[in-house]
Amino acid sequence: MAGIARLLQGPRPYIGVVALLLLAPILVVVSAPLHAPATEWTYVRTHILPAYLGETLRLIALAGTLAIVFGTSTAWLVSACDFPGRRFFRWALVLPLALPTYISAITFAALFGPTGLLSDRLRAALGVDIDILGPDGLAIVFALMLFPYVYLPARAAFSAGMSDVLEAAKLLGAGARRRAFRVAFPLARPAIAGGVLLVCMEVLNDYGAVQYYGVHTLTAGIFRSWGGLYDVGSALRLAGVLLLVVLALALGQRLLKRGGLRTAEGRALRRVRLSGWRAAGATTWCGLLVLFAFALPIGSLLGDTLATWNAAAIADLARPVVNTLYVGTWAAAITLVVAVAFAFAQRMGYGGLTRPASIGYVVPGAVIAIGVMGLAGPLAARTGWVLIGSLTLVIYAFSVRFLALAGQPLQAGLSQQPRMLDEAAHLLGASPVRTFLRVNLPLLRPSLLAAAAIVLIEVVKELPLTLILRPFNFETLSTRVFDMARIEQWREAAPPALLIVACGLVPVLLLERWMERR
Amino acid sequence: MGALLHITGTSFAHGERPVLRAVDLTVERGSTLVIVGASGCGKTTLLRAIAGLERPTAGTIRLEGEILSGPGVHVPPEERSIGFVFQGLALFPHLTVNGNVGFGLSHLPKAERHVRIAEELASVGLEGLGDRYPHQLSGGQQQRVAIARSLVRRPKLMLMDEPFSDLDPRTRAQVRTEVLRILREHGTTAIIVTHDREDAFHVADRIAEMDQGRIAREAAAEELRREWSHQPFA
Amino acid sequence: MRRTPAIALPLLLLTACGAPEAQRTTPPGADSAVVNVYTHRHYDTDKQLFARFTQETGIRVNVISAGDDELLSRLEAEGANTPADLVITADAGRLGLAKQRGFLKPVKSAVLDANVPAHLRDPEGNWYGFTMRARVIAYDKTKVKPEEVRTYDDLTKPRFKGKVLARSSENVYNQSLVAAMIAHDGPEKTTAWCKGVVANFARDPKGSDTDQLLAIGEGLGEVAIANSYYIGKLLTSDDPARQKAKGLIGVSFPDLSGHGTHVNVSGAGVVKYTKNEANAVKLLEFLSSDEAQRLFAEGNMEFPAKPGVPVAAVLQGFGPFTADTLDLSQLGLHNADAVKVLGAAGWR
Repeated sequence: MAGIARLLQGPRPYIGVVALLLLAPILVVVSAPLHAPATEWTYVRTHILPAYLGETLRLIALAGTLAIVFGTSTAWLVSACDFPGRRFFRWALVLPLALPTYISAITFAALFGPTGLLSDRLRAALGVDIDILGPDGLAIVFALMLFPYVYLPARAAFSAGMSDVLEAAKLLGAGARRRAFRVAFPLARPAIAGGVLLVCMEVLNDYGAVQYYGVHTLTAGIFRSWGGLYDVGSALRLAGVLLLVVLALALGQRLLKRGGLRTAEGRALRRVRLSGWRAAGATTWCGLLVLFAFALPIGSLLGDTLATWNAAAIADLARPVVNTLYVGTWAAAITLVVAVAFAFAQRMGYGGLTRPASIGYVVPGAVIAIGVMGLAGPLAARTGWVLIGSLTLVIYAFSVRFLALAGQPLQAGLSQQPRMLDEAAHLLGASPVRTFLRVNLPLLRPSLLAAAAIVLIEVVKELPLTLILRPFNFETLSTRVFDMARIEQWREAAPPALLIVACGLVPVLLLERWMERR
Repeated sequence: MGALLHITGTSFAHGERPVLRAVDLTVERGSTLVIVGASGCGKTTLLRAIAGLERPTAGTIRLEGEILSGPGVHVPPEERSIGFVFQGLALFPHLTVNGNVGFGLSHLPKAERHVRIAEELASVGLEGLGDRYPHQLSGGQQQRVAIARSLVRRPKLMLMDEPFSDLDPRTRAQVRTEVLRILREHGTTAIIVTHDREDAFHVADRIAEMDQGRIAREAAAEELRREWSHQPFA
Repeated sequence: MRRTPAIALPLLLLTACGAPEAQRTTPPGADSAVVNVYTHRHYDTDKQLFARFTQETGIRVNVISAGDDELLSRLEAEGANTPADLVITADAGRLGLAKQRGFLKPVKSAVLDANVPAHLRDPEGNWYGFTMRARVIAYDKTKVKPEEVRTYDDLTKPRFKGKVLARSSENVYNQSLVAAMIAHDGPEKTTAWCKGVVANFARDPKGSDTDQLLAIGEGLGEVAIANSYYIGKLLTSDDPARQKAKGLIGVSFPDLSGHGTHVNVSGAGVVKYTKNEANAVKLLEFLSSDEAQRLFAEGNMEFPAKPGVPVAAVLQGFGPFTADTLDLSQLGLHNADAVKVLGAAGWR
């Protein structure tokens, strides 16, 4: 009894309740196989699961590897070398993050698909057939869209505290290539691993692009079971398998995190001035990535917007813009409050309670929506408190989904604050809460901004959650894109797509500045 | 024995701010020169210039008569045959002791490399620790790995930046003696930067005092010890 | 980071302006002048029609659009608390499923009975179809003769080895075509057909229906399976990327084992727990009226359910066709089997 009493002391119960609240929709999903009938499970297990799992693993392996190559190489170039355009590329390489993958995927298909605009030219000019549609093409598209998730942390790793070991390597006779591959890249491994995990999760989560490219991922399998076999039970079991894949990836990433460089301060990396073909190569490489990952899709969207210019249709987008920013701001604010509270709890040693709640990020949005409705439905039936169709529920679902994303920069920021500060504050008579509010939190300000930016970027791009849970007549930019894309009116989808990018640009650049300061 | 290192009129500036102002310095073969001075006086920058990590704006640096840095000449650091021990040691945390010490021997065949690493570890008293990672070693042991990593390449000149500053007083005296022994045994010429006079007297043959980017004076250790003992708080 | 407030302030102001609108639309209760619609259709024509309906009747139409499976899940979760009055989907299979799960309620209306032919509605009145689409064969006029593509079976002939274009089997259009075949011919014959088509594929299935048509334009194949209205839209498109295909494409309404061309419907049913039943029925009746049917035909290239309403001019050129009069609830019953047959045949 004394043990239970002690468990209920202090902040534990409060943290526990909030954590449970955020975990509940996922528990609903995970527990579904225990009671929901899965009429077609035998078929799904033998025919869908193995093939789709294999294709999923292949896709994330390929997309992840390419993202490492793109992200690490560019991060190294802008950190360790000087070449024409370096200052521009330093921030421009982050821009692809503002584009939702499903929009880029469609744009790429329009350019490089079998009937694409540029494929056409290339066929005419060079006689080569280009077809981006398919598993390998999709991996390339994903890598192009998502490599900034690797680029940003790798760049931060290269700039912080790595200058001494790299100079030591140089004095020991290591050439540029050996310094990069034997010293810098291995030391940046934890940062790169964290970035790749994000890339993999985005790939696992996608539905629109995989369907269009005809690729069988687990998420596609979930929808095949749900919509094709009319079997929600099997769909949820597949969602469970998807969760296992993600947990395995997360475990792998934790293993890779060991052995990283943990020096805090160091002089900035001495950049080597490249010349001749090396400089040209560096500029070309970064330029090609920015061109393909950002400029081409944006150019294509701009072209379509102008070609179908319709002032009334554009003006009609004002409300979706406001709605998008409205849910985005609220979701960012609420997620941030919870994330800060959890970061505090973790610093106080309650990490065991808060950590499980971060799993929401890896669950596909549509599945979270089912979980959320599975909670809200019975609640309404018992209490008459109808939440489905309210923005409250939409924002709650966003918090479930994006809490982990907001937590990352906060924890990174907190880990850089020496314990000494807390101890000093305690010795000066400050309570833990006061210490957190007066010492930790103000120091955390840049990280807070980064966390808010990340959530805002993701909410602006997010589609399935909003689509299913939204109130009547509530349209966001991404639901507008969806409406047009669903009926294959790609060109008419361009203006709202451009606005999504515009809304995402400000937070993306904020995020870039935050990483810069780290 | 003749002079190994000749520095004449060497200057360096960080943008507009001069850090080294026409430094002249000579180091005899096989001797140990200690540079002392307040922080920010340019000691570390001087070491980095000698190592080739910084390129002087004026003056000449010669090693065995060959120009390393001078007007129109800048031999890259990896070709200078100079060893450098960083203040933070800059050990590679992802490599074992063997990996660290062998890092600069990649041009040798594997078997020979192993022999050289073993010899070097023995000479610095780290036998049997080759498979450990840096974070599994004590501060003094890490120090010796850093020295071994440079010495194994048989440099003509060793540069050490504040080699004793991160150690507690007891290990400090030990490491000091140890470093001196290792340098003597290898017969290596060394320049050691420190802000601590105590350290300086223990290891130095000659001592140079730096102030605002200049060599304020340079003399035999004995001579300076006698002088400073009369004004301990200078 | 000092500039943070400067960025945040306009954002907050902007979103604060948005708040009232969002709140206002949230609780559409048992008001006498509204009808709440869950729809899987995202067409401009539907938006125009809802606006017309409001103009004529004074009844406001509130809309949530999403995928049909998601909408059914939402209906299920909401149960008796659902605000929805009418569900519109673009698949008879889903309408049958909604009926089977008890989400719908039967309604009777003389107007609906008069406007919607019996085979396009639920016998008990749980749902009514208001437009049809046909799953047709588009072909390259310069390479294929019309008589070579009279039936779906023609697609399996050696003549079209390496020439057949189709989208993936994840899509409901292919699933419901195959479900119809299973209903008529049984799973074995249907599996053989699927295998025959797969053996004739010009490439792995990918992209949308429109992409299959564009692929004909590029000479990547000679025949494609697509929905009729996508062809109609392509043929009236001014998009430069679509011009090449436009001039090449002919359309055949293929026969399915003597039953006619496979069709599916867009239709709607009144929700069991509706609080505005009269309004919902009014909207249903409006959707089946001449005015609405004409707009569906002209604006969206769909085939009107109501007999006598002309189809779009561009589709008239391809001649009349016989639509399969299979009981459409069969599509839902066989959809899972269709997915398995497609999977077994290796149709990606």
